[in-house]
This record gives sequence, structure tokens and C-alpha cells, in this order.
Amino acid sequence: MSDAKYHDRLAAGVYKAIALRFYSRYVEARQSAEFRGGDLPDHGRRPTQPEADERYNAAVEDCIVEAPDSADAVLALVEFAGILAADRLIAEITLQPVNDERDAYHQALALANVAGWLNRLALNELAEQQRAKLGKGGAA
Amino acid sequence: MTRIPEENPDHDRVAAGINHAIAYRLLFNFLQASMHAKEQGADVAGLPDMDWPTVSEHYQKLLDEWLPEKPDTIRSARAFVDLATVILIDRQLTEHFSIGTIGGDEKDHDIAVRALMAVGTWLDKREGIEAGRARS
Repeated sequence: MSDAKYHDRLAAGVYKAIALRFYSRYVEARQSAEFRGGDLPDHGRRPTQPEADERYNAAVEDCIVEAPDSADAVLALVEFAGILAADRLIAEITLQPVNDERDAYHQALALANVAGWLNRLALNELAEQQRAKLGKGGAA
Repeated sequence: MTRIPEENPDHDRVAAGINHAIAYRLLFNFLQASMHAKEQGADVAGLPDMDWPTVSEHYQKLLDEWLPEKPDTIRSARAFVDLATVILIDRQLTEHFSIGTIGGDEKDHDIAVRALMAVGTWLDKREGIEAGRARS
């Protein structure tokens, strides 16, 4: 943790979840290769698909309910939602199981949190405009 | 790297080699995301680690080895289609994530086209065989 460049807890959690989603796909591809007779012995033990998925889900559950308070975290959430959408296509083509309901739930939570953050910004902007208007009115 | 398969009906050298290339491609994406997480302060100590140049090199080696082989079974044709599809979707995936793909756009395009053309050639052959059967 100490050598991290930026330190944003929520962004860190979301990127970790994204990483584990990619890892889960890697595990599936490795499993397919093994099924066809190949092996990657230098990669260590291959986790099972449920193990990889469980790890991914735990990482998501760990961060997805948290409201973002930085642009970094918001960006991570938007990327997460976009990656789930694109990743679904890969799973469809490679005939790997997709947990549609769970993905949709996670996307909705991520985007709702992004919307909440944008809404707060919009309200602040509005308040600032009102203050500026009142200030001008007072000066006149 | 990719072992020669035993006498197992599910085994297919070409499919295994291409699937390994796909695995390396996905591993590269994982490493990129893992690096982002680390930069933001995540504890990634428990996650698998491998340096990018090694992953990139292995990926390229596997493609050099197996892409010219051409598919000669349904499962190897399937692996070629999977590779092309993953490459095409990967672009979208990495765009979302503001990172580049393992091979770069130009190389990716070339590999996807070669993979699909190889499947096309195989389908042509199959079509010829089927037409011959229908005639006899």
C-alpha cells in the first residue's frame, strides 16, 4: 500500500474488482486450453472457475455500495460498468456462463453512485450560480 | 509450453495453442487492471503477478507457432474464431479502460483477419468434401 502513487480507496477497490474480472476470464481460457490438451505449468495452480468468480464477487461487494467522493473513483466506476458490458460479449462468444442478473445489479449500483456524485456537483454548481446572482443583485 | 496431447478425444494441439494465446491476452488485461488498482492504493499482494514483457512475448510466440498451423478440426476452427472475436472485443474493452491492447491495433487487426481467413479456407475445404459426398 505504501508505494501507491495516488491512494483512492474506492478507485483502488474498483480496479481490483476489474482486475479479478479479467483474471476470471483468463482462468476460463486456461481451462479451455487444458481441456484441449495444453498446459501452462509455469503459471502455478489454476484456480477453479467458481474460486475465481467468488474472489471477483467479493471484491465487487467490498466496494460497489460505497458512494464516490472523487473524480478518480467516479471514473473507475464508469469504467467498471463499461467493462462489464464489453466482457459480456466475450462470454457470449466463448460460451462461458454469464451471471446476467448479478452483472446488471452491479452496473446499476455503479452508475447510480456515479449519478449521485454528478448530481451533487450539479447542485453545488446551481447554488454557486444563485450565490453569484444574489451577489450581483446586492452590488447593484 | 503447449504439450503434445495424449490420445484423448478432447485434445487438439492447435486449439490448445490458440486457447493459450487467448489466455495470455486476457492475462495482460488483468495485469493492466491490477497495476491501476496498485496505483490507487489497493493491496494486490495476493493477486498473481507476471511482468508484461514476458506475457507479451509468450503471447507472440504462441501466435507465431499456432496461427500458421491453420485449423483442421471443428474445435481448432472454433478456437480461431474465438481468438478473432476476443481480439475485436478486446479493443472495446481496453478503450473503456483507457489502455492499449497487448498487440496494438494494427497487429491485432492483422491477426484477427488471418484467423478468420484460415477458418474461411477450412470451411471451403469442408464445403468441397460435402459437395463431393452429395454427388457420390
